[in-house]
Parts: sequence; structure tokens; C-alpha cells
Amino acid sequence: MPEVDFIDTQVAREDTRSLVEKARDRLILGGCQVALFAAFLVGIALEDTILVTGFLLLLIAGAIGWGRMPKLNRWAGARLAKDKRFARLVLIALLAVFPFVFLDNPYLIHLGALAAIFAIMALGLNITLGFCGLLDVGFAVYFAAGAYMSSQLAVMFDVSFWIGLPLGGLTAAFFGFLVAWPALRVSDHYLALVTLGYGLIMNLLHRNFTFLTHGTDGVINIPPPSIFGWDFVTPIEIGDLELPFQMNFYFLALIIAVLTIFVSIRLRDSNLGRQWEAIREDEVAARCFGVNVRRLKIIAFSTGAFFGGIGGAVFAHMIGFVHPDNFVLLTSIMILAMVIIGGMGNIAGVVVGAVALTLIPERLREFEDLRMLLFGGALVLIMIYRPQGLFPNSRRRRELQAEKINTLIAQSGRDDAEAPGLPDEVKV
Amino acid sequence: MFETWIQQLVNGLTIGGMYTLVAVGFTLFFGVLKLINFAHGEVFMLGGFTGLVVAWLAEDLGLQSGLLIIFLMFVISMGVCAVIGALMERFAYRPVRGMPVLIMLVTSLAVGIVVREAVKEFFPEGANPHAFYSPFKYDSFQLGSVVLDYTQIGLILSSIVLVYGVYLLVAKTWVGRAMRATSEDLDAARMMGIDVDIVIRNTFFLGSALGGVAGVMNGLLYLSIRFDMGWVMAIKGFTAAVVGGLGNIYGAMFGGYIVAAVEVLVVALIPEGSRYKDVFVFLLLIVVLVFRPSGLLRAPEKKMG
Repeated sequence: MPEVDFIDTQVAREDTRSLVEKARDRLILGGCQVALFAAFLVGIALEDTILVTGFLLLLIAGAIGWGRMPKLNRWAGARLAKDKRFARLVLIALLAVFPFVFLDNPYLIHLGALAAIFAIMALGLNITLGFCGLLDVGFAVYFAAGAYMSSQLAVMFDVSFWIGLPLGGLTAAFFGFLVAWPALRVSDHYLALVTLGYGLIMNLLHRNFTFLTHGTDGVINIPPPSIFGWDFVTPIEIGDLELPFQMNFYFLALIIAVLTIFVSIRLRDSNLGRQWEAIREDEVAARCFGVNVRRLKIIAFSTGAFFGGIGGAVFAHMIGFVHPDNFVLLTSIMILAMVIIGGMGNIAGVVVGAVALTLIPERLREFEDLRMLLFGGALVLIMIYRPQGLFPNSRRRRELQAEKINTLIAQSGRDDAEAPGLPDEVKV
Repeated sequence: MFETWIQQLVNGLTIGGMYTLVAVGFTLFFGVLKLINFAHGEVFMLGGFTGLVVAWLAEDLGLQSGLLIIFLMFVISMGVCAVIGALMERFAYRPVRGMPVLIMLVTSLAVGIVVREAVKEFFPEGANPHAFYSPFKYDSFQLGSVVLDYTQIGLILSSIVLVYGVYLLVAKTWVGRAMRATSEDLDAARMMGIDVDIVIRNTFFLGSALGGVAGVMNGLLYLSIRFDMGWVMAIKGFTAAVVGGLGNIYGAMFGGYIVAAVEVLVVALIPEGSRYKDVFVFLLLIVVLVFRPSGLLRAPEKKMG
């Protein structure tokens, strides 16, 4: 039966072709990832300040250029969408390999751990702000709650880190629950002010409730986590190779960060996430469709806060020292900026934002205080030119465009109906 | 006992006047732009530093009259802060006008960071506290058994005069009328032929000038200024604005005195109160926002938010 044979070979040929294509696609995708990652690492690890600055400027130029090239954007997006799981695996592998390349530069590994911790917290805020749309300008409260709870448990009662970590998270969740009650009654500016005031009150209490927090002396001598008698500050030795102990913290933070990402994705795609989204888009409509807005907002506040507390607990045990100055308004603004710059609601974007905003200021230490000036200036420019963040959630991007067009119409003073490129969603 | 209470009353009126001046700025900005201008506290700080520079210059020029120097400080820091405020509006807030709350909020926070860090970096010895100039340091007179400080009395009087001036400007002139119309409804105001951009610029001139004066007053009162003092004042100021009802210009004029009263009472009545006075101010902010979001002096027909 020649026909069947013919079909079989045809199928086989198509199979091999698709296999080859798939392999090629993966090679391109993985290659791009590795190249980008390596370029970023090399740039960040540069010794010379001038070179680092140059690299950062290049990075910013790249980010701006990226936004200006929709074709390239779409190409990369399609590539990524085709093989998401593979891309994730490559990324995790790269993150796992990274510290082994920089064995002689423990500072960089330490920065990596710090970036992972801030990613955990930014993902927490992303749940409150990105998923549910609740403006929280006092996120440092939860950071502090987790850090103080787990560190004081360890210092005062000798409680293990592995118990202090979830307890820190739960304490933070409780603080999120506390602010949710007044926050439910207000929205927008008023919500921002309430959370801001909450953050400031809590910071004053950190300074003055010395019996709980040791005030401005800070909590010192926080023991590092340990498993079965093995301390995290003891370097692991493989043969003659002694791995820097910063690596232990890096992997601890990395694993928790990956778990947080996983939980975030599951939350986003769950029933809960859909309801949050409904509240964010239109609270009244959500209520009409039977969403329990009150309950869901409380859950959003507490869940976000929980991750803030987890980040805080890891932070406290890694740094070994907790001080009220760690939890001032600027910390809240920093975490807020991570979420916004990355792209609210977009998990990958938020992680990128957190990594960028942890590493860049650290690498610019040479500039001392000038870097805060640069940070402020950069933030203003980003708000003006790219308010949707680097990797925006597609729906938010449309919203912002619609608002911008509305403003343009309003500013032009004429209400011409034939405004160019008016999307359907424009609500006038 | 009686003397202490009089003294506390004078203290309250002095700081209340400053809070009121800052609060009027907040409420004006919120009215026309629906923006909580967190950078306003930094304008206040800038006012203090401008006053200091004026005092240095006056010393170089050999001016003797203390009153004249204070007058110059007031006027020049008003001018400088008005221009700075208008520049902020033009280059930072206008591009984000009409954007979601979050974007405007973060923009104003970032502008605040820029101003604060710029002063810290570029003012000579900007990171350290500076002693402020005051010709009437500790000069006081006796009224019965009560000792009154000239500076405080002067500050109370000048803040009342300024606030009354603002009241006249807002209530009686066409500039104020356009401002009120714009805060009521921006689009409707535009349709009535008001150039909203100019109104907003005027608002920033006025509000920032008041913030600058408050900065000078703060310096004269506490005799020391720092680059990071703006933030605390910003919180007191917008608490005062919230107490009076954000956007309600007349409310803000009383809100400042209410916040000052709370502060003075906490210090007077609670042991170790001075450590917790800010906590009570922030609590006042939250409580008012939650239970009376349109302010304690709620105008019933006005819809807020």
C-alpha cells in the first residue's frame, strides 16, 4: 500500500521537521536568555565605577529602545509564548549557576540574595496593588513585622528560624489585616494617606516601644538559620573548593522567591485572582456580580503583607541586625517603585523591577547621596514617559493609553469626535 | 498653672499658624489637580533655606534692622518658593495630569526626593543642621505673670494676616474665583472660558509661596533648620488639610489650629507625650479619613472624593 507508506513518511518527515524546528527555537530562545543574563552579570560585576555607570546608561538606553520597537517586542513575545516552560527552566538554571561563576566575589552573591528578598516583598505588594488595585504606601510595616517577629523570637526565646519564618509572615499578615479594616472604608488618595499614616505610626512605635524592638539600638546578634546543627554561615566545602557562605543565603532566598512566584501565579489564575481583578477594574460592577468585596480586600491586604513578612524574616536573619531605619517611608517608596517600574500586575516585570532597584543603587554606592537624587529624577521621568512600567500588564497599558487620550482631548480644549486612534475602552 | 496654659496656648497658636499655611497649600493643590503634593513639605524646607541665605546676604550687606531682614526673608522666600512650585507643576505634574492616582502620587513623592537630596548635596554643608538667624532671640516681655516671646507673638500675627490675605484673595478676587471654579469642576470651568493651565499655575504660585513663608517661620521659631525637616511638616500639613476637608480652602484654615491643639494637649497631658505627639497626629489623620473623610467641618452639599 504505497499511499499509506507515503503518508507515514510524510508524517515522519513533519515530525522530524517540527522537532528540528523546536530544537532550533529553543536554542535561539535559550541563547538569547543566556546572552542577556551574562551581559547583565558582567555589567553589574564591573569593578570600575565609571564602567558600571556607563553600563547602566546603556541598560537604560536599551530599556527605552525596547519600548520603541514594537516589532522586536512582538517577536520576542511570540518566541516566549511558544515555549514558556522551557524559558522558565533556563532562567532558573541560570539563577542557580550564577553564584558558582562568581565564587571570588561574595559581595555580588550577597547582592543576589538581597535582590531575591526584595523580589519576595515586591511580589507581596504586587498582590495587594497589582492584583487587587489597593494602594498601599506603608509596605515597610509588614517588612518590619516579619523582621522583628522572627529576629526577636530567635534572640529572646531561641526559637529556630524555620518556626520564626512562618510566624513572621503571619504577624505581618495580621498587620495587613489591621490596616485593612480602616482601609476598606476609603479609596484612592484617602487610601494612600491612610496606609502612609499607618506606616509612619508603626515606624515611630518601632523607635519608641523599646521593650519589643530595642528602639534605635536595633536588634543585634540575630543568629543565622541552621538545619540539623549546620549553620548558614558555615561555608560548604566540596573537595578543596570552599563555597562562600553568602551562597547559602542566596539559595535560601532564591528558593523562597521561586515559591512566591509560583504562589503568585496560582493566585492570579485562581478564582480569588479573578475576583481581585474584577474589584480592581470596577468595584461596583464586581459587587453587583456577587463578589464579596470586603472579604476579598482583607484577603488581598493580608496575603500581600504575609510575603512582606517572609521577606523581612529572611532579611533579618541574613543581615543579622534590624534597625528602625530599615523601615522608613523610603523603603515603602522603594518597594512601590519596584512594582510600578516593573509593571504592576505582571509577575515577571515586578521581579525584574525588584532586581534592578536592588542592584543598581548598590552598585552606585560611589556616588554616595547623589544616587538618591538620581533615583528621584529617574522615577519622575519614568512616571512621565513610561507610567505603565517596563513590562506592563496588557490591560493596564490600554487603560493608561485611554486615560492619556482622554487627557489630551481635554487639554486640546476641542472635543473633536475624530480623535485619531481612539480605543473602544475610552470612558469619557 | 494658669501661666503654663497660656504658654501652651501661645505655642499652639504659633505652630497652628504654620500648619495652616502649609495646609492651605495642600488643599489648594488637591482642589485644582486632585493631587496630594507630597513635595510640598520640601518646598517648606526650601523656604527655610532661602530665608537663611537671605539672612547671610543681609549680614554681608550690613543691614542692621532685624524687622527689615525678616521682612526680606518672608518676601524673597515667598518668591523663590512660588517659582519652584510653579516649575514643579510645569515639568512634573502637568505631564501626568489626569493619570491614575498612583502615578501622580509617586511622581510627587519622587519630586520631593529630588528637592530634598538636591538641598542636601548642593547647599553648603547641606547634610548638617544649620543655625537659623533670628534678631529677636529669646526677647520677651511680661504680661502680668505670663512671659510672652516676641517672636511667637510676631509669628502668630503674621500667620493670621497671611491667612486672612489668602481668604480675601480666594473669596473676593476673580483670581480666587477662577481657582474655586476650577476646584469645583475643571471641565466646567474650562467651558466657561477659564484658562485652567494659568489657574493651576497661579495655585502653585500661591500655595508654594505660603509653604515658603511657613519654612521661614519654622526657622525663626526653632532657630535651626535641616534638609529633612520638610517631611514631618508635610504630614502635619496634610493632616490639617484633611481635618478641614481636602479641597476645602476655608476648612484648612482651621485644620492647622486643630492639629496644633492635639499636639499641645498630648504634650501637656500625657507623660512622655512629646515622644508620641506625632503618633497622635497620624492617628488623627487616619481617624478623620475613615470616619469623616470630607473633614470635620463638612460642608453638607459638597461631595468629596
